[in-house]
Amino acid sequence: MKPIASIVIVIATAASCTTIKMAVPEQFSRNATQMPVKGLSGWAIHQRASFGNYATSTIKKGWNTTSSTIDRSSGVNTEERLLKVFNINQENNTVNQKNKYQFSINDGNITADIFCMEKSTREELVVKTNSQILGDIGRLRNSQYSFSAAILPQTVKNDEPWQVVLYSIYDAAKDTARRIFDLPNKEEGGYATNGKETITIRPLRIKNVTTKNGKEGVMPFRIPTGYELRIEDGVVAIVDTFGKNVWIYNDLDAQTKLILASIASSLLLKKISDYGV
Amino acid sequence: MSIPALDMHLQPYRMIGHDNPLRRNLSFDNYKTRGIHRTIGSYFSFGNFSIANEILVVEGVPLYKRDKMRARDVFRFELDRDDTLVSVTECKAILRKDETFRLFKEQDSSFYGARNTDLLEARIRLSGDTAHIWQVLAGNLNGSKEEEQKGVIRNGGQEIRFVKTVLLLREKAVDKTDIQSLMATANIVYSFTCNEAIVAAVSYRATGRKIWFKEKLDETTKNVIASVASLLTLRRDLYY
Repeated sequence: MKPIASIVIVIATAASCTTIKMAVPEQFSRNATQMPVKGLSGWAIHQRASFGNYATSTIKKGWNTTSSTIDRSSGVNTEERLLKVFNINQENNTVNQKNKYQFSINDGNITADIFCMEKSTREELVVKTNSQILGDIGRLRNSQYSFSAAILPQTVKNDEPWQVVLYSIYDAAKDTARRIFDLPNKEEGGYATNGKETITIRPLRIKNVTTKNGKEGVMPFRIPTGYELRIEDGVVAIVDTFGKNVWIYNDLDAQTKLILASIASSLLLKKISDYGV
Repeated sequence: MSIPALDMHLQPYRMIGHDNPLRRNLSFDNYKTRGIHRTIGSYFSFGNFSIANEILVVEGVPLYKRDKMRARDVFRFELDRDDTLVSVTECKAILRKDETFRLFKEQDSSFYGARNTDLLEARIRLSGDTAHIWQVLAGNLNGSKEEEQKGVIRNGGQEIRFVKTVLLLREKAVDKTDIQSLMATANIVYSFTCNEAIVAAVSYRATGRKIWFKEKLDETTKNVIASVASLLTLRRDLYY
């Protein structure tokens, strides 16, 4: 099995310690406002998040469900052929996970209602070793993660709903990452649109980090640290899921800033990992 | 971006049945299958006995193994729309597996399924047009080769293609009063393309199975795609 699991452990450990932060380019940070996010961790009942002048209502959470079934296999791969040759028992397991939540966000003047849904499907090849020590060994074959949100700005003007889509698709058969610190090759992207305007959402994977005392460092591999929101060719916001920060470009109107804050908060409240591993 | 952007014109319909032991027929939109008949031979697969496979084994570890197997799935079904017969579909799928493993040699293409035959052919007779038969030909639907899983549906000059792929698709049918109809998910589907545009898709997996049709799709194309989508759902996996 690839060392993906170890990379995820390193990321999770680093994130839980929050000893390092995402290094935001100075060119952007000079013209943007950094807003640390409160209310993401800790007591999850009546959870509310806030950053800058934005505050959410109580997050209304739906069921976060996970189910595992033996479903139709997506095809035969090399591992499966080899296991058959050596008569080793195997199973094709499909794990489905779904999560829903909704809330509203307010900047002091305008409110937007946000409905979110995330869904993940992972197909795994499970090898039955019949050993108490080894147990069953799972190998990810493919995964499809999607996050979708609908944003309803409560304004008289420009009240068209915004649709947010974020996806991450992984297929082991197409993965060319082979070295120890290589992250899996995935097709990922996203956008938010109201039919007239489009904001591109780009997942960020960076090597440059900043420690708590301000020192800059370079990680041996790229780590998923958040999302970059772009309008046309310019970055308008950065969502730092690692250090729990939102950066919004200053020179924007309140309505656009609210949409960006809505996207940022919906992304920060995701519960299902889109790392695909 | 290699995943096509979300097509809001494709409307989803839940597809139920088939995997339910009490409900073998499929229903979706206002379509329903009936009279699914499979030949007895579809439930068996046949392997070849090989002396080399038996001899070239050391302590249970095969030095050489040639795996030859053949299986078929022959079935027919009728498709109704609002209790009126729409089409009769007859299908024959075959898989001939011929894979060779050599422990002390680099594995060649025969190990990766290059010698396998994985074909599905079907005929669809629409009740409204009995003079013309739609032909379906698909390859690698069991995924036994390192190739795309795809097929073509033809009737004279008309052609619809389908391929297994990942698409971003609407989760709920359009409803101006329900904001959740804006939600979309990534799904492994067979996407149907007609005149270079995706006009329909059907889930590959059984869990939460759905079918998506483009709004204002002409009746004949919709009926043909509904028949092929049912066929792709009802077919059995033949690779063992």
